[in-house]
Amino acid sequence: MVKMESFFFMAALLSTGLSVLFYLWQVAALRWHRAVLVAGAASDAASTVPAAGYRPWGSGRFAAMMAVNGLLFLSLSIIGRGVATGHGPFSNMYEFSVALAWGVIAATLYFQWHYRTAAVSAVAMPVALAFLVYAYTLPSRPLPLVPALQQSLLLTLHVAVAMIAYGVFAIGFGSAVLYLAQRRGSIPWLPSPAVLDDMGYRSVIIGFPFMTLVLLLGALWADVAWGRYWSWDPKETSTLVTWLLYGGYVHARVLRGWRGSRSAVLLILGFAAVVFTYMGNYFFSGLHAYK
Amino acid sequence: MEGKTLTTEGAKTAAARRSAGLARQWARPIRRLFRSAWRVCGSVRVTVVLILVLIGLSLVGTLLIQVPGEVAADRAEYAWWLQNVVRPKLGLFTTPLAFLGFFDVFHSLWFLGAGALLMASIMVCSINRWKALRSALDGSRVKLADGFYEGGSSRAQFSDLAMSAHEAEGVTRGVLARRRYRVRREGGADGFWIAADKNRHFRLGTYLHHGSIVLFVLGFLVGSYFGFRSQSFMVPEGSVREVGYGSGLSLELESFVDEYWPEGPPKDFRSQVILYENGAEVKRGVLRVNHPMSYNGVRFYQSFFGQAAVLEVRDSSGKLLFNDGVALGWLSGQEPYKRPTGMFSVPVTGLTAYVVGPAKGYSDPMVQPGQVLMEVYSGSSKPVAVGALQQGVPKKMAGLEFTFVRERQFSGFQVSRDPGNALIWTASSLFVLGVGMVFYFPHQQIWVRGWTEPGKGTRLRVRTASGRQVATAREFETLVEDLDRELARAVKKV
Ligand code: HEM
Repeated sequence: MVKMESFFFMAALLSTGLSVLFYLWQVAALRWHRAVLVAGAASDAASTVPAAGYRPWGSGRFAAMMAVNGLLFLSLSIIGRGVATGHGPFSNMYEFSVALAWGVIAATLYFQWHYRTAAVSAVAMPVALAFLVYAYTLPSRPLPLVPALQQSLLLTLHVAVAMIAYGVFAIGFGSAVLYLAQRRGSIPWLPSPAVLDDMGYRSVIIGFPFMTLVLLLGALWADVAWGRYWSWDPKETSTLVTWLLYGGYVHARVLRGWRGSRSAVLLILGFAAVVFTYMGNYFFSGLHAYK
Repeated sequence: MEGKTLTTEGAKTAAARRSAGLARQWARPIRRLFRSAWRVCGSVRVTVVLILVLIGLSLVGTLLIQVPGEVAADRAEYAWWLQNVVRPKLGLFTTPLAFLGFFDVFHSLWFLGAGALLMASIMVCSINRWKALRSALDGSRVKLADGFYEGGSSRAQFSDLAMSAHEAEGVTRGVLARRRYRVRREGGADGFWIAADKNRHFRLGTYLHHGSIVLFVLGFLVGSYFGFRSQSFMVPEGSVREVGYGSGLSLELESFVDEYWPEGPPKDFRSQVILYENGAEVKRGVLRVNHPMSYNGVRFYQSFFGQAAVLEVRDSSGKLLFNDGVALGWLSGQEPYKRPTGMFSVPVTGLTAYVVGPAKGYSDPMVQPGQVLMEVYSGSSKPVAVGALQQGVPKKMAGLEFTFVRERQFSGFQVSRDPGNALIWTASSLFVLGVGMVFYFPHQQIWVRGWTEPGKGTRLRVRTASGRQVATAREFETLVEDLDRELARAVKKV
């Protein structure tokens, strides 16, 4: 089983890598294509005609197919591992990184399908790839669960909702980055600023309730395992800060009418907080000393 | 108003009149103060600043070393901790940071103050929003100026429809009703007006989740003021210990088992326990991590474990003074010789004895395996007797006879009673419910104006509320598609 699982993982890593290459290739092709069209326009008005019918991203099909492949292989890898170990992907950084990558790819495909643009995918997929490459460098051997982690149902749910929330927030990050590049609408081969802004907002509308569940399920687990739903432990605190940032985004938008660049910056900060929380174990270990 | 209530009491003495004057004099500034406090609390900008302050403080609490609860409770211990744990790391920064309360951020005045203000602000905001929400629930005005129908974050227009305004209204109302809109209309010689909406009651979700934040804080406060929490309740195997805190409970540990996976990490810790209330057995069972035991609101959690020593003390006549397990639950000494240490008082004699076991993982020059070191104190900080005890070999110390009977284990529990717990979980459920309502069932509002233009046919203008919302745009798109199709079908029929 473990062998199968590592085969699936490698296949997923490869597919995701190829998908990223295709997306980047697409970006390069579009840039070049537009450059030619615009240059041609100066001398010959007729050459702008194809631009109208030209569907940017319409041919990003290979990249998306590879992303679907990656998602399938990752699903198999996670399921295979779950069957072998009898619990969800929460026992070490390897498992959690794989779960995060799954969330990012799933969210990428959902948004690409929904908005019919692959532009944001070209930013989000490298994030997924980064998680997978990181997982690749980690020891993947499943470790037996220490007593506190023997609470399979709650922890599996906790990680499942985190997968969705963080995956969707990666899309928010991707749209925010592109928004900042595109805020004057000066890049013809990218979606309009309004669409990018909309994608960012939608990512929070979908992700925030899940993020809330991440916090609450974590607190519930802590209560069952330790008799204490909240103890201001660094990981808890940084999850709370992440949640507050996205909460701030919603309020700024609904109450103050924040749009565009300012809310894009919040989305980038929010995702930075997600990554910080996820890597938290490394930053915090030295400070836990007194216990 | 204030003046009137005072004079009607019929107080005519000079003193009463003076106080009435004073009250009148103060009423206005107090009212003004209250009004500006209300304005400050209700300001979104202030709220954002408060939340940013809380985030900043939380980051400080995350990145900076924080004092453990037991240490913070004792001034002397806190000072010792600052000097020995913090100063070696932070040096000169220690004093100013300690002055700011940054080593116990989550109980500092800053944190509590900002938290309290945030609560006030949530309540004020909610009250302020009530009027707007009420009118949204009642529904907006139906008949609005023509210019209104050219606004909105999304809008559509149908012109030159070959049907009467009345027929167009019928089609529109049919489409809206099928999409479960509440439709309110007005009509007249110059056409019709429609204001339609759906999911309006889900807007009350904001009250659920904002109210639940207040409930969270209430639960937290109730828990910390009316409950108790002991992080390190230690019971040696074969011993009984009182829980304290006025609970009348005591716990006996019959046995403790720690099991390991073949790979090394721990697999299971379990304590076989008996619970007594005022001396009578009320419960017995196995306590494991993730499987707490609960009695009358007091919950016991398996938390840690360690070495214990069973000791016997007799006086010079051979009378048994003490025979019990002692948990060696703390570490003492300098690195690398951190030795498990416990303490007990010897009944009758007024003496206190410290029991020190050998350091783990090193061959300890001071305490050999199979031994414990005894230090006996009588009030002062200098021991009156010190000596190593070999297991099973009695030893005379301080006029008494000490015996290290055998080694056992102790189990450490967290014991707590948290009457705020129910509030916390109620708040959690309400929060999720409220956020779900607002996020996934957004309030949709549609306005339609239709009229017949002489010689041209009927024209419709349709718009949404302003303030672009993702869900609104999408809903509107499909609504307009429906409307388009139905209007076309109706035109054909005509
Ligand atoms: C800290 C946790 C908080 C969370 C998670 C939260 C969540 C939300 C959400 C999701 C909305 C969107 C409602 C909508 O779309 O209509 C909202 C709206 C709102 N929030 Fe908060 N909120 C929090 C704190 C606060 C505070 C402290 C205030 C007080 C100033 C506040 C005032 C408001 C107001 C006035 C609205 C608009 C309500 C309406 O449109 O009817 N919120 N909040």
